[in-house]
Amino acid sequence: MNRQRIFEIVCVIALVIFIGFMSGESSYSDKTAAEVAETVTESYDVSELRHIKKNKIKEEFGIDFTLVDSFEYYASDSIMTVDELMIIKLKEEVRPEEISAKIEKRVTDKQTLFEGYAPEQSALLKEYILTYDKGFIFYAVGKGADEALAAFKSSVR
Amino acid sequence: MVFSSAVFLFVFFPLMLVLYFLPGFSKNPEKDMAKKNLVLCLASLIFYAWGEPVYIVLMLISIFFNYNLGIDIENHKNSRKKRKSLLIFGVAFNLFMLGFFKYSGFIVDNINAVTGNEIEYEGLPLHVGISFYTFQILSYVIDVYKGEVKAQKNIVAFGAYISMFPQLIAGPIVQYSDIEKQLTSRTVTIEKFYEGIIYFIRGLGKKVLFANTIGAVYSQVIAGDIASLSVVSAWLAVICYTLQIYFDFSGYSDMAVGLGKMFGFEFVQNFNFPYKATSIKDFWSRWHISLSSWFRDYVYIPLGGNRKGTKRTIINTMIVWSLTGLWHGAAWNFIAWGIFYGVLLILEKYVLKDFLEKLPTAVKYMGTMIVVMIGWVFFSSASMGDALTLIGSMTGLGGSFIDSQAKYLLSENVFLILVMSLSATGVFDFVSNVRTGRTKKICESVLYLAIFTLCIAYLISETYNPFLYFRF
Repeated sequence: MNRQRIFEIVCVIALVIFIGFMSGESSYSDKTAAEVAETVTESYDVSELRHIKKNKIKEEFGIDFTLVDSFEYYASDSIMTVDELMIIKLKEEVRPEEISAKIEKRVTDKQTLFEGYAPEQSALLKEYILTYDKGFIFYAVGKGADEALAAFKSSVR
Repeated sequence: MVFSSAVFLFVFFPLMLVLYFLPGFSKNPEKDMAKKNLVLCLASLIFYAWGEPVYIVLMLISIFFNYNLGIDIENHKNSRKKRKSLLIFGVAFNLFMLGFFKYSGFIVDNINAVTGNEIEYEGLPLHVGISFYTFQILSYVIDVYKGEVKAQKNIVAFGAYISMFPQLIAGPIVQYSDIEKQLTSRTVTIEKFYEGIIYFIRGLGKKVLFANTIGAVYSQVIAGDIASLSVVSAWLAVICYTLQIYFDFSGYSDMAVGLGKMFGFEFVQNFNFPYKATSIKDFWSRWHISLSSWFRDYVYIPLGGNRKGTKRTIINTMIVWSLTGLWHGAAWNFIAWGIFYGVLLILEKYVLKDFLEKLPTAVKYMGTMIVVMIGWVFFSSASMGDALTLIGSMTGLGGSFIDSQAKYLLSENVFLILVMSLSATGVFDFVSNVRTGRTKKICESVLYLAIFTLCIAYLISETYNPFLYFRF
């Protein structure tokens, strides 16, 4: 067997191993945003928040809904309450960067707004959590955000 | 990483240029070229790994496999049977990789739908650029088999060809035969570098100033329920998408060609004012030229092309266009889009030819544009159902003829649409070609500097905006 053939076979084996690794590590959850939110809201209090509809999110964040499979969003009606929870399930094969960047920009804008005159809100906004896992974007601001993140991580698996 | 991002423009690219043009460790041009290829290859791998690092493994496997396969095929030039079995092995390996990482979910979904089974599969992250680089690799393997090019003996040069970042993510699909000599010998002159900058800024402007802006209008129109869109809103959405996809994709191609020039390469032009076409055939000779050429050279002609009679030509055309649709995405609406064009090309060639030839050019142009726009409906929709719903709204099934949203968006964007439409048909290029010589160069430099400054201003205030063709 020549050297090239050996390398070709090594590559085939490497491909099989890689596929095995990738298949074991699913990157897209089959749960819906509502299912995940149900678990997350057990550790994040949304009783003071309102369940927000699509148009409002589009207006606030400028999110392109052609990229979104499903979503859940809770925020307050009061402009002085910065607590909010958003769980977005992206369509399969959609990368999170575009929407994450829009959420980040919104947080930055809010930080600028509160900085200097509302220290408590400003501090909460600085501690915002924005992450992506298994096809979901998770965004939370507020006192229970860390616990909500843990619930989110276990829920999407 | 995308070209229209601050990290690319202000960190990655300048750093790469410095490394690329640093004097070589030898005055020997061959060694200098080897250093340039090494910088290009490593930078390309970093560029690729930026978004989804795990797939760099797959690309490395692909580079090593096809590098060895090329040499293996060439070593068996006296045994046609051996060469053929190696070709089949290589094509199967590459198509399996493409099929598994791009189409496995689609295949399983359809098996489940037909058989009623519930076979489970794990969704995989999008493997950006796989359709483009697999086709480049196939062009190499097939051409080595046919003896039209020599197997590349330098793995760094081969790696640079496969992973070359300017066109890795969204083309143009560079056939190996077009670039073989440039991998070992290429020069960068000040003229060529300047030309590259102009191309790059033009592409950046198309993407940032035009595609993103009109894309926002499109998103706004289709954000609601597409089934209840007014006729004007539905058409506005389609017109916006028609403009967005052209400026987005041709913008990327211009940037790729420009970057290539800056590194001494000459890539094929991928667009030639497709919205100036007066027939569907004409449109496809101007749109995504590198993909059409690839399918012509590696599928249509090997199938017999038009040399085996009308019936066979029709079958070959339909095969090529179904595959073209499938290449774009693992969904039935893409296949429908491909078949739509296959059928239209056949009708144009065999049924309507005499009738179409008699029509005034303006009518042919309008007819082509309407057909192309309907094609984009299939292309842009998330599913076949959505595509048919939008077409329904375009024909008045959705509701009123015009609503307040349509009136507002039209009045706000009519100038932008007009400027983009004229630009897409090359009017401004004609104007810019009126003057020649030194004055032209000064005007051009000032204009492009202004465009670049505007783009930067937009990029700073705007958020991440990926290219539409990334997902293919």
